[in-house]
Amino acid sequence: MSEQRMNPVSVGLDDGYAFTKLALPDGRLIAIPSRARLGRANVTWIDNAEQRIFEYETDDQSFAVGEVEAEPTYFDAYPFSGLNRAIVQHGLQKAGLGGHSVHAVSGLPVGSFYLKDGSRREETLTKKRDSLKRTVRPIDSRLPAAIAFHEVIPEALAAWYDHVIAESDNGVQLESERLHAPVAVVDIGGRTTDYVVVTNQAVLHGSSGSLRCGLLDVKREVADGIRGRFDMEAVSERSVEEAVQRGSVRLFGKDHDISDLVKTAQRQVVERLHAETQRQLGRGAELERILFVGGGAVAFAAQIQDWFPNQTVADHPAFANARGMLKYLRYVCETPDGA
Amino acid sequence: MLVESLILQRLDTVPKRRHQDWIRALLVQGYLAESGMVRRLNTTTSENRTAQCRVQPSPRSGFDFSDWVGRSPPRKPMVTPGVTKAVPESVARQGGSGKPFAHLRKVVG
Repeated sequence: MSEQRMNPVSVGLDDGYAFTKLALPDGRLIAIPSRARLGRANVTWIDNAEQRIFEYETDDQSFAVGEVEAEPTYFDAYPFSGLNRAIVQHGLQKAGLGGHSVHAVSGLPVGSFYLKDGSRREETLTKKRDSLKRTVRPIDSRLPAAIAFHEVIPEALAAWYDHVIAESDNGVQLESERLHAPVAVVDIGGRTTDYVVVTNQAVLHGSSGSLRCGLLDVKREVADGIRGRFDMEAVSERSVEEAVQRGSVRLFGKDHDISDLVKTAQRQVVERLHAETQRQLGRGAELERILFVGGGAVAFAAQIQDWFPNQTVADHPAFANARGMLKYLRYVCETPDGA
Repeated sequence: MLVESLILQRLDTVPKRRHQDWIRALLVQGYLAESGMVRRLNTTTSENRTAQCRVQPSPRSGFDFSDWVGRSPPRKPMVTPGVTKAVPESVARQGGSGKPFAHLRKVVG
């Protein structure tokens, strides 16, 4: 083992239900679909360069990650599951961190992180913290990436850290005018949409929380629509994914236009998000800024653009949480080495 | 004994759940410091007569690992180094772990 491998690599790890995003200290941002299934793929790759499914083992269970017919990630125990660990390990491998020791900060939805009174759900946090530190072994010749240190913060709050800590070639500094201003972060994710309001460096728990609605609900609605329209009992997750992207689905050897189903599903989800956002934030008149982040801020960009006069969308919004997690790890978090 | 006492004092300030990680990091730091010292000694040995007179650690003395690291390629960052440059004093406050914005931990609660 070289000394280089001994030095832990810091990673901001936003292990979402739809995508797993990594932010690395060299500025790289990496995203992989949170797509995996229990069991081995049983595929022999003729050309390893074309390998698209990778296998991992954790807690005596095997998982296939990549271009597989994925199992749904939207179950409550996902953040502590072997499925999650295998997907995260795959992300770390994609980042070239096999064989390295990793220090990571990841997140949980605001509603999973805090109780209603604002106290932390310590048991849940310990469970999540410990889960990713468990060994995950690639079932091939690759070396595992080992997470030696792992801290958990609320997902939308990570984006606030990204908002107030600015890195540049000249160093790192706090954006002091942002630090004290009342700011709301709306994080539209895969399974949940998180709200967090921060003012004077304190979270206002009355206006913060999670709504169980996100991008994956669009897929679910479209899947239901396809099953109904074409009288099918089941439709594969891959077909639905493509249908949402292309607005058409290929069945019985022909392309079928289902753009109306996609539009309807998007409209329903956006309406629900809009109503909940207004309930949480009102008109946002006393907020200096309402910051939209998460994959939904990209996917629903056209639909959410005029919700508030004082709203902005973060740069590369899908990575705002991962960037904030990395900044928290590097400049804020208590780490064993203080580095 | 003084060093041991300092280490125990510092360990007391770390939350219990972090003890294992903290001790592991301490070992790694000590290991890296030791290897750095061995490298420096190796470099200066050929130039410095005093250093030439020092007894080199025996390959079987238990310090073999340092020599092994000493032979490894020079230390270089795997990625952009996680250094904090030019932190304005008006905003950078040192927390217990030496992180420039450690005071922002309280936001999480």
